[in-house]
Amino acid sequence: MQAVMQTPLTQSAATRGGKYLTFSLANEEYGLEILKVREIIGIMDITAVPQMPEYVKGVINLRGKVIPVIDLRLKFGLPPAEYTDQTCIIVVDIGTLTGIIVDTVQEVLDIEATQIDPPPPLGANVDTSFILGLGKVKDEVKILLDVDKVLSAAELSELEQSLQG
Amino acid sequence: MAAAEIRPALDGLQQAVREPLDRNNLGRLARMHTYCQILSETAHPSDAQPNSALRQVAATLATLLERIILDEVAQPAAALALIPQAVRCLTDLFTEPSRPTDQLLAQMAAALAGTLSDSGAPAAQATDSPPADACASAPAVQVPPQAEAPQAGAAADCQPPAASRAPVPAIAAYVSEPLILDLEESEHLRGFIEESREHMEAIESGLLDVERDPADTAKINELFRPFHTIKGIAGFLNLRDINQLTHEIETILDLGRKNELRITPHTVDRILAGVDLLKEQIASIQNYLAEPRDRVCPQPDISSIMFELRTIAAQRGQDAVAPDRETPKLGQLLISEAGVTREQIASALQKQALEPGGGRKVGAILVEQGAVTEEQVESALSRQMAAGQGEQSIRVDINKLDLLIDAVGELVIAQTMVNLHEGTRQNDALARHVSQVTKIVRDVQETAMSMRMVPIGPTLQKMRRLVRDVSRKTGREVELHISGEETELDKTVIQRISDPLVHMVRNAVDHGIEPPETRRQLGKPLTGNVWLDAYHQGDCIVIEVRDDGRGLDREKLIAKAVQRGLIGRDEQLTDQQAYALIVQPGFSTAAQVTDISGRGVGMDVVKRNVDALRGKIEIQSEPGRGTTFLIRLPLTLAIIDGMIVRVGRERVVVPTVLIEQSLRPQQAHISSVQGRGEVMMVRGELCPLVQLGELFGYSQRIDPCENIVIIVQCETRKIGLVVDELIGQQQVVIKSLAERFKQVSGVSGAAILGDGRVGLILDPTGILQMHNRHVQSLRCAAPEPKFTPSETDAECAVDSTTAAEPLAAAVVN
Repeated sequence: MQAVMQTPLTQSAATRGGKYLTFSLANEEYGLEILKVREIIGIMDITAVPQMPEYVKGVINLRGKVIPVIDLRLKFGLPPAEYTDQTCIIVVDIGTLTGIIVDTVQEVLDIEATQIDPPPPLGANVDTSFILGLGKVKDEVKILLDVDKVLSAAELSELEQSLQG
Repeated sequence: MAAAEIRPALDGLQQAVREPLDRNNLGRLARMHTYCQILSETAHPSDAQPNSALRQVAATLATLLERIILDEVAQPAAALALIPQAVRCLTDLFTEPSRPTDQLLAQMAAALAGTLSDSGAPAAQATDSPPADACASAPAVQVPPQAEAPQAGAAADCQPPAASRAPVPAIAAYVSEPLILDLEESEHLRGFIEESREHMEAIESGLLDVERDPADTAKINELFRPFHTIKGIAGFLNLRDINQLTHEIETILDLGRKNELRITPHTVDRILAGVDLLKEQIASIQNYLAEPRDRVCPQPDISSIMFELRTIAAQRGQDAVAPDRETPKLGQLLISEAGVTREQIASALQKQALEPGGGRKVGAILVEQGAVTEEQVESALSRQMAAGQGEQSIRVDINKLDLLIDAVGELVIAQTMVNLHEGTRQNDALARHVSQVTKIVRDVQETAMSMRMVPIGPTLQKMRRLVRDVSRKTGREVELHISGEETELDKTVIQRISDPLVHMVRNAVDHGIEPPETRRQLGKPLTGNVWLDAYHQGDCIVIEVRDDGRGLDREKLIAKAVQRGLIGRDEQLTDQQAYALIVQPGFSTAAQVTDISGRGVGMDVVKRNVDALRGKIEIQSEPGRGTTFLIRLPLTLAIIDGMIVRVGRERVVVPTVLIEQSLRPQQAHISSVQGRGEVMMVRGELCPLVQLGELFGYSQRIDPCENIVIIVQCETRKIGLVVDELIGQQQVVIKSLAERFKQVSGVSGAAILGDGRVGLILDPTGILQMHNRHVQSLRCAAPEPKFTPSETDAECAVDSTTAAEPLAAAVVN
């Protein structure tokens, strides 16, 4: 089902703009399609789950549902940061609910299709498949993420890890 | 007669014949059948008004339709061609009651008669072979009324049409057709499967009641209903075989409840066989829906059972088959309950018919005549209403219920937080309101939880059938006593306990109860008893299976276990331990393998299932007196009793049922094995110690002597978990971990703790595996063979019998 949902959305995002939730992560600005976002909650106690890659911080109780939480900094190989009262968990719905830990949530932006550039080629070794495009708002550039790909890529490397272990 | 009822029925019929009829359109034919029944019933037999012609045509048409639906008509095309004609005739009769109907009736009778002459043909040829009877081979429509032999005359003589079935009945052979399911209807089909499964349970226990007391027409009547429902839905879903089979059974029951056919044990036997086939049919449809391979859905052959059932039905008296009724007539209810005679009802009906404007209610007339009291009419009326409405329940998707339960769980947590808040304690008025809310929240929680609960009765009732079959097959005389049917259990638990119960009851009858001859020699009553009981005990549900048979032979059990290598030769076992042997894999006490039990599978499966439900089995036995099996089950799978323990900075939940003991060990009891791990001596058994914090990556190694060791039962052996602190016991709601964590071993789920945080629930088996891998990874020497669960059993026996030597093995395994 995911694959079915993914294709049209990816295409439409590349050609057409829409509303994006922007957040910051280690001095960079990112954007998520608002339709994927279920809710935003403050950082809370996370229960660690054994045998998980570092970026999978564990599980939280989202009003009776136990959902996994991923630290996006660690996922992107950025240096870890202390959680503060600015730290947020963005709960996204990618078929299942998953929490993403980001430094701070900023705003919801309307980004026109004309403002979005395709992801730049960064060389063969750099995987840019989870980047939808670069949104140019005023003087700033927001990296628009394809959250399905971010998290499915997470799953892949997770699987690799568990196979090695 | 009430024109108001006739008009819509006529309209319905007219509309139905507007399009060309097709025999495969069972739904439409069934609708028409209903209309005809309405028409034939609305005018009561005692009705003096001259619309008997209409009634008669309608009744004949109903029979014809029924036969067409049942595929018992020799010339379906000709019979179908008659229908529009009959409908026209009915419409005319409504306005002009004196219209002649003889010819039409004769034609319909001919179509019906054609049936009988053909029906004797054997199944193999019945499909396309031309009927042998010359009379029937001509299309029925063209047979002139005069040429029709006695049957036509009989039908024209105002006799109820069904009587035109030949006096010496020929049994129609049933030919099934390939079943092609409409996959677009799979939702309906699934609903049907689920619903009919429920009915099956009611049917089986009902049938056994009927067998015990065949004269109890009320019981037969109760049985009639589920069959009728299944038949109806099957008809609409074009499940012809099921429709036909239930119809046939229904016919027999109908005859039975009208005292036209004696329900013998043989009859019940055949009906049960039919029910078995029904189950098979339903199962095959379900399988097909899960994986539709061919165009045609495979289905079991029902031709022989159909023949048998029809043979039984043919033994009935000569009276007509009354049309099916969803709702019992008030009169019937009054006759059965208030002791009103048929004559009184008939005269009341007559009176009602004579009064202008449709007359008063029958009940009122009866009260006036003094035949019944008003209360009796009231109660009969309410019964009638209840029967019409069916059960007062709705089906709810279980996921919705779970959502509700989740939400309520959160509500309770939020409520607790408010309760504990500073402000609440300081403000009396607020505290009062909060306590009021607390009460309501608790009610809501209880109600939400209870919605998943269903009574265990139907599951226990299912065993009746089993006991009956098994006792017959083994030549035992066994009576089954059931109590505690109203005890409620989580639906999932009930579903999963059913199979283990089957094994245990089967065992009780086959192994427990002695054959009658032996019982007589022992001076016991010839009939053995098996008791099934369910009751609450503390936080558990106990299901008790007790028999008064031979009991378990302790010595024999031990001898067998030694022979099978399950225990050492010199082991001293308590009675409990000895009895527990029979649930070990590969252990069977029956000297002979019968086709019922005794293959050494069964009891260990029971144990596995009960374990999976987090339950326990207890066995008590007294030689010569009988055996009692107690299955203790948690009330629900959604909640467990857990011990909350602290490991590093995390809290984890250990299911309380698994905990043997917790202790602070002394250094003397702990042995280290070459720096690879530690074992501890607990009551003469070596347990590997598992550093939970280290294993889960929560903390560093801790000293077991400074902290706490929890001894948990893990399949056949014990392991010691080293944890920082015991926090307390609590009931927790189990949540499944997200898909992402499927491969995590050592954790069986998550629980929401009292403060709203998530705690992981431990799975000792997985922990043992993790521990073994962990220990192995610490080893630099030649790697041991990989751990597999089956190896533990063998090595466990070694561990516990010998002392120092296998220390290393104990650490690794």
